[in-house]
Amino acid sequence: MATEKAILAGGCFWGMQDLIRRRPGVVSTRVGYTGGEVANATYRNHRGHAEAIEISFDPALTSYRDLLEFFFQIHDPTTLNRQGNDIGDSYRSAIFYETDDQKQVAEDTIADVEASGLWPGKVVTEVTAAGPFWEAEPEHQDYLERIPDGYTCHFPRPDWKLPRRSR
Amino acid sequence: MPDLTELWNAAVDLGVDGDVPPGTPVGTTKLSYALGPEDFGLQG
Repeated sequence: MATEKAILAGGCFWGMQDLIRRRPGVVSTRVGYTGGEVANATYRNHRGHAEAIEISFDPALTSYRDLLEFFFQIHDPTTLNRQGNDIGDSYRSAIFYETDDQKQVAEDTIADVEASGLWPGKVVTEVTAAGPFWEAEPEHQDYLERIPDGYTCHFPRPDWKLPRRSR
Repeated sequence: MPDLTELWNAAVDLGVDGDVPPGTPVGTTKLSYALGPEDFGLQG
């Protein structure tokens, strides 16, 4: 099976991973730090990086666009450097594209989110070329699977769904 | 280095505005839950 990779940041990586790992077509996930300059980033030293998730998915079962639409449903892309009550650029909204195709899909999806008028404001999600991804420590991987009552600020908003396009 | 107390208080104050899952206590942040204010400057 040929898989593809997506790297997204939308706030605390615990909640992001817990919802995204359940999606059909998602083969595996891992959380980490990316988008900054610090090498060998860790939880206590990742200044400039965003908390992010790397998703391996089967393109025969889901698409990059589908993943982005879910991404925009479970986090608020309109709050700059903030998600829920968590504040700081660690919690920024960002899409780290791997290919020019992914960049185009990201920009198109953001344009559709903006045009829909369903979200509460202007999208502040960064669209940036993927760089080094520093895997987070084991205690941060699958955190909510191990600690089901643990903290999350992510949840799917019923109204934040893009309408299907007519072909 | 930011003023940790100021940042912490701002985060708590903002709790009423946060878009968080239903049932989440007002003012709950990742750091208040997981670490405590002394680590706020590390951005959890």
